[in-house]
Amino acid sequence: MRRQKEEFDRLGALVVLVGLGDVEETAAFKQRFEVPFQMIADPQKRLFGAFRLKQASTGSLISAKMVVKGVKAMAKGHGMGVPRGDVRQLPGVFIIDTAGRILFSHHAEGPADHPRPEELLAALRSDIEK
Amino acid sequence: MDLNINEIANQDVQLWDRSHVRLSGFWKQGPLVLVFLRHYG
Repeated sequence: MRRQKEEFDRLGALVVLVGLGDVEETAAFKQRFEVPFQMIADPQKRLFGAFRLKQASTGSLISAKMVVKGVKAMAKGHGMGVPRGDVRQLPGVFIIDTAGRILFSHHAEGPADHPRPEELLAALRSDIEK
Repeated sequence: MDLNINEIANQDVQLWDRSHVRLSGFWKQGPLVLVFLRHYG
């Protein structure tokens, strides 16, 4: 998403990341990866719960498909260090407009289930064009 | 899946720099794209 930051900015959207680490872990992550977005520390998973984000089954975490994805990611340099946070917690993405309405929601069904940034940008553009 | 936007809006959250904000503050000026990450590491 960092590659599309300019486009998110141009559309007037604010991108905020929510992580499972505590404040120190979140700050370290932000610094280490030079994250250009604001970050929320949610170690108690209060926000994850409020947005009804799911937990992965053990089977989906260690399936052959996930092992292959993990190996491919590592080959690209996206190494996996020691996990910080609940490894079963699944991600999600939500777009909320200035009236507090949810324009877009994605509750991941699996660990690698992410919407493409282009889908998010399309949802934002669609709202602007209304 | 119905989300309780009022519950969500009133959530007090802590940022990486230890500051606290109300979540609804993020969508006052423009749309908010809220991305929930998996674990770090």
